[in-house]
Amino acid sequence: MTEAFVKVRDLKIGATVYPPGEKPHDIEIVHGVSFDLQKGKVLGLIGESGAGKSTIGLASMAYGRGGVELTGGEVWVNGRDILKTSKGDLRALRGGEVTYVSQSAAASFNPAKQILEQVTEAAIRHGKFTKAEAEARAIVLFEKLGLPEPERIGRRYPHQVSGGQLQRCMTALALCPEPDLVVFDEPTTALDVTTQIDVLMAIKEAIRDTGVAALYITHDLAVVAQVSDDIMVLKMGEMVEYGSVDQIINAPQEEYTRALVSVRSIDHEEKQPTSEPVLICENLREHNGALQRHEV
Amino acid sequence: MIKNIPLSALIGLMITGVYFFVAIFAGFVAPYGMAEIVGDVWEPASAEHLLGTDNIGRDLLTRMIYGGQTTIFIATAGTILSFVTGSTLGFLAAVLGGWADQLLSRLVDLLMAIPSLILALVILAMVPVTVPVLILVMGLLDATRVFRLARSVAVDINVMEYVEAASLRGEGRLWVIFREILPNALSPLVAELGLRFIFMVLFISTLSFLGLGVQPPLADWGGIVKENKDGIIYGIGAALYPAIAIATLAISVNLVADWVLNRTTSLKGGRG
Amino acid sequence: MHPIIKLIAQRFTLGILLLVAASVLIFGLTEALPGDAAQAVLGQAATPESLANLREEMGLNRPATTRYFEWFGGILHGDMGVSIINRLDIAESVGKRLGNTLFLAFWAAIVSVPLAIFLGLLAVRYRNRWPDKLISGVTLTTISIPEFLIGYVLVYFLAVKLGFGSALAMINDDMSLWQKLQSIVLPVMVLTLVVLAHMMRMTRAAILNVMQSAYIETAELKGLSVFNVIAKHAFPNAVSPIVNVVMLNLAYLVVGVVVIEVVFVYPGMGQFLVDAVTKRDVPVVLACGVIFAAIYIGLNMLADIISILANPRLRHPK
Repeated sequence: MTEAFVKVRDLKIGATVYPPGEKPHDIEIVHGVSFDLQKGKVLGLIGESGAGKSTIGLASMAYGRGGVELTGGEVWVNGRDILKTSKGDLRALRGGEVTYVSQSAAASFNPAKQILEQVTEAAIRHGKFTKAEAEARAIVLFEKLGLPEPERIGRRYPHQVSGGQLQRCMTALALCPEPDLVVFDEPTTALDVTTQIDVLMAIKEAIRDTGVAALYITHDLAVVAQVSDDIMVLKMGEMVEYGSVDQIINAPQEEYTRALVSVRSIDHEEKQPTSEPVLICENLREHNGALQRHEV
Repeated sequence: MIKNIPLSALIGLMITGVYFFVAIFAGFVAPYGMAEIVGDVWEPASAEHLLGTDNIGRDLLTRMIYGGQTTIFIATAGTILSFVTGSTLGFLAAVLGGWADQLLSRLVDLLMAIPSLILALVILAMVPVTVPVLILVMGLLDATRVFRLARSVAVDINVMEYVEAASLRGEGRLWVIFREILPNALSPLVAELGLRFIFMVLFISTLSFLGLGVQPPLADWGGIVKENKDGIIYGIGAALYPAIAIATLAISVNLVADWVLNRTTSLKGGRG
Repeated sequence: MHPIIKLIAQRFTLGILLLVAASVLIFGLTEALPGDAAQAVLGQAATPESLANLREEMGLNRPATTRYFEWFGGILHGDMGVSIINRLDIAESVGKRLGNTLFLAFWAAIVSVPLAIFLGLLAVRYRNRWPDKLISGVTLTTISIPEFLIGYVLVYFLAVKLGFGSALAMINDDMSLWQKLQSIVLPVMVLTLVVLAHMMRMTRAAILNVMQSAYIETAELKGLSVFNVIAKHAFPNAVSPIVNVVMLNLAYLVVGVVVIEVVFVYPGMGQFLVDAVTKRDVPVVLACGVIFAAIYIGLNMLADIISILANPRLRHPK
């Protein structure tokens, strides 16, 4: 059995809370989570808001957002425990071996620089490609991800392109340095439904093409089923169930997982209409600006 | 309820209270008469004169107490004037809208485009400098800031939503104003009240120091500095006492205003 | 035409309009309020006849609009009229004094601006720890005390007790630059403290705002060095808000100068204005008032324009 590229053992994550009127104290938000991830495979992390998915995703880069601390356990990436490596080594890891696609690309791009510069920045800084190589690679990625005018879009500024396009640019940014692992943190959540589907398909193809390992974080079951090989269901910082896509979707074992899956088919009770109408609208006119509403 | 007030705000309230008490009852608290000459020029602090004497031999503590009365009185009157004028016009502008709103807002913009001190100096070059005039000038100039705040609070979409929600529930207009708008609008306005007051204290002190504020023999903190400033070069610190008074009062009011602001930041105007 | 040019032209025009409106306001105040130049000259000795005669002589009976245009036109040509107290040409007196005031303001700005940015960075780096709280506490105290008192506190403790600096800041053309600088040490310190207090809070807020942006996290997750993150990502975005803060506070500085000049008996525009107000020298008050208003409005307008120029969204529109 091939050695897993990412091995997480008993990961514990804590944070300090500041409840109003009380002393601040520390709590544990992730209680000992473990998983394996092989090269070329996609692990979906699914759960409600606050389940700890993003926190775990960022932990695979040994990063704690907003004062969150990785308090226990081991995170092995490419043969070393990154919870115990030096700051310098971590910097080499981030952006080079492990990259991150955030939920809101619009906020994650620097408004003062062109897109191409930001997409190629990490690849160049980590010495993976020369500037010319990185830029060529970026343009190829733009095309693969379905962006319009791939040769020219890089010269634009982030505010000059749409949200869906930016999300794809961010994916290109994550793939440009030829990483071993990409963490996708709810990349389509902030988009409208039609754009969501397009971007999701583009990401799926890009993962297949480049053969990276990926952590795909989402709260949407339909999305995770599309993209992942394995799924881990999380609730309140604990693992509820962990198995292949097939097994989780078609044969869920835990109560919670079953509830999640069964939402796809909600039972409907058809009510018979009563004889008297409750509301009648006739000749309804509404104006904007002149504030005249005529209701009859 | 009292227990919920943080220590800093409590200290602020107490100190502010003491100042106002002394200001109101100056006549009873002061050891000597306001203009009474009781000793030598610039005597150092002693048992009879806790702060020493001033540049013509009056008891400095008495001067400071009466000075506090004048300064606080003018600042309070100015704040009330500025608040009443500013809020009324601000709410009016928000409610009337249209050209009335435009006119008032542009006028306020113009007034605020020129520093208050400069405008005050220009005005005071033309009119007799008396206490009512000072209150009027400072109050009206400062009303511009209150206008902006009151207008933005009244126009705030949230407020309008409360109003709409309430009327959809069938509540009457007046009820809505008192039960929905006012409690939320009050916090940022009350906090602003404190800040305006501090500004008034600083402003009147500066004007008096320049000789264009309260005229002698009436005492006020800025005037006391002016009267005693020549002593500084000789190492006489009489002119510095107003600094301590103004600073403690200003910081105390600031602490209270901070507390009020932190209680709600739901509307624009809260520091958040 | 690039939309940004249009925006800047708009701001500039607005600034000019505001300036003219301000001059009308200031002139109007001297008209509408009781008491005029003739009254000021005659003072207590005024009788109705002498007032009427003097007014006729000074041309004060002509309609206000005529006199406004005459006065404003004069200013545009550099003619500010004559002081009614000592009959000296105002433009000449203003010229020298304006130079002095700008000299003082300039050095105060040179010291306070870098200091404010540095302290702002410090406060953000050690956010909510003791350096931040200390800086907050000191600035809160400083804005609670009027400038003239800060001036006297420094004079008392530094000049009198320690012999550092002088209580009077005299400068004239015979002094060398070094001598002039020595003379204004204390006023510059006072102005710096005052402006710093206001600027500090704003620079801290501006820097914090940038540092907490999502794109800074992205830069960190790219494994960039701390220096790179700050220099290449934070700094370009912080320039605009910081410059805005600085310019707004420079405008504030110009007003603070008025009071400080009186404290240190410095021969500048501020001292000139205050003296004129005390003596009711209306033409001088008008001239100084308008000049101060112009500087204030001008700096605010510049702040606006620089803010526009530094905003990448406006520089590269869709």
